Amino acid sequence: MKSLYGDEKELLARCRQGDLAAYDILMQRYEKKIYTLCLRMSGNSFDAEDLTQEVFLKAFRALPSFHGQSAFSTWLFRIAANTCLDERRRRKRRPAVLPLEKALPTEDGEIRMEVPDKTSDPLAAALNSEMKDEIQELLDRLSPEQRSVIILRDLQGFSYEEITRMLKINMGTLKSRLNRARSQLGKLYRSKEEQKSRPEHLKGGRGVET
Amino acid sequence: MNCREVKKLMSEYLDQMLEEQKKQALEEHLSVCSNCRDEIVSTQNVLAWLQAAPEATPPPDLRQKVLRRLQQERHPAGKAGRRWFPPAVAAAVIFVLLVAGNLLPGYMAGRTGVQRLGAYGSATDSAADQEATAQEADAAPEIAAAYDGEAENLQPADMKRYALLQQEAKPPLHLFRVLLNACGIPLLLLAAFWAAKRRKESKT
Repeated sequence: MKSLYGDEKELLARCRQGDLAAYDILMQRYEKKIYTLCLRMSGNSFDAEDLTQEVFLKAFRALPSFHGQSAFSTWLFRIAANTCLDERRRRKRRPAVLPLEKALPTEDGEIRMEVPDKTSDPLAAALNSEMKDEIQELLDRLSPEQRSVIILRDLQGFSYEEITRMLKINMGTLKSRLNRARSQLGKLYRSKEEQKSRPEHLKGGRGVET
Repeated sequence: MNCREVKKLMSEYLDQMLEEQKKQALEEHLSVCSNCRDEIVSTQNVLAWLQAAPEATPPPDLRQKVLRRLQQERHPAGKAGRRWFPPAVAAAVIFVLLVAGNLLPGYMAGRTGVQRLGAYGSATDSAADQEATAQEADAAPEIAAAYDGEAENLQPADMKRYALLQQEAKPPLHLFRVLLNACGIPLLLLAAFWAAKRRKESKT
């Protein structure tokens, strides 16, 4: 591990001089973790790709201001976490354009838009199931702040200290956020398991008559 | 320790970060409170499940895309501004070749014709030869006039020159020019159009 960090310093120095080949090596080292973080934060692979690119672009541009105060990985993940959180905030402010399901009232009566049913499209269904695995379903139900601490701590294994530095929050905030996020996850997981194991005749409204 | 306190310390307990004293107090509570015990166990389960999830694989061209954008940023005017340059140079080269191809062979043929005729004259030593060449160059307009018309009024010597010029230069030159223009002009237009298109693209 130590030799890896020493080697990383040299790579960083080369990157600062504009050596893109060195930056490629650095990116290769972190792309999986950064992409996983972005994927888990955004919930879909299209946004995850954009976000990952954004993170690496931002990091390269900001490299001159990084002087090794913290580990490079901590610094990089801070950029990644903030990029994902910013993106979510931006999205919230600019919500979906038009609710398609709703009929538009006009002078000549209502206009109803035909929206293809996604569930009947096998390709869309396959894509959906690929992107939204069970873990994502649970993570999507946490707030972005809670999700980010879970991802950094439990998916990526950073220490509490590192996470406080990445998210620029204090230790108390992190602990309570992590506690709430984890117990929320535990609840969701339990209800999911219960639903799975529940006998067939109790699911939905279709009772089995005997 | 009560349930609220246990909830507060749960994460640190799971991450084995509690000091021994607090840990024992917490475990004591767990041994009597099934609610808290259930919560801790299910949380432990979900975390184990999360941690077992494989890392996602990024698209293979992701790094290439980043590098390409960084490269573009480094030469902001460079890439966009220079794209129209090669076709513009090509257009300029074709234009020069066309002009040269149309004017130069005629001029050269005129000169060589004069020189060859001059060689029929008397001068043999080099100094006189040079002077003679200069004189013959002065005579070029005269020959050109002869070339253009009034062939019937020419002296026998001029007739000889005229015949020679016509025989030597005219038929191959004519063919050459037609070929040159037939190929060159479309090429020139194509290159110019291409350059203009790229320029327009780089501006938007």
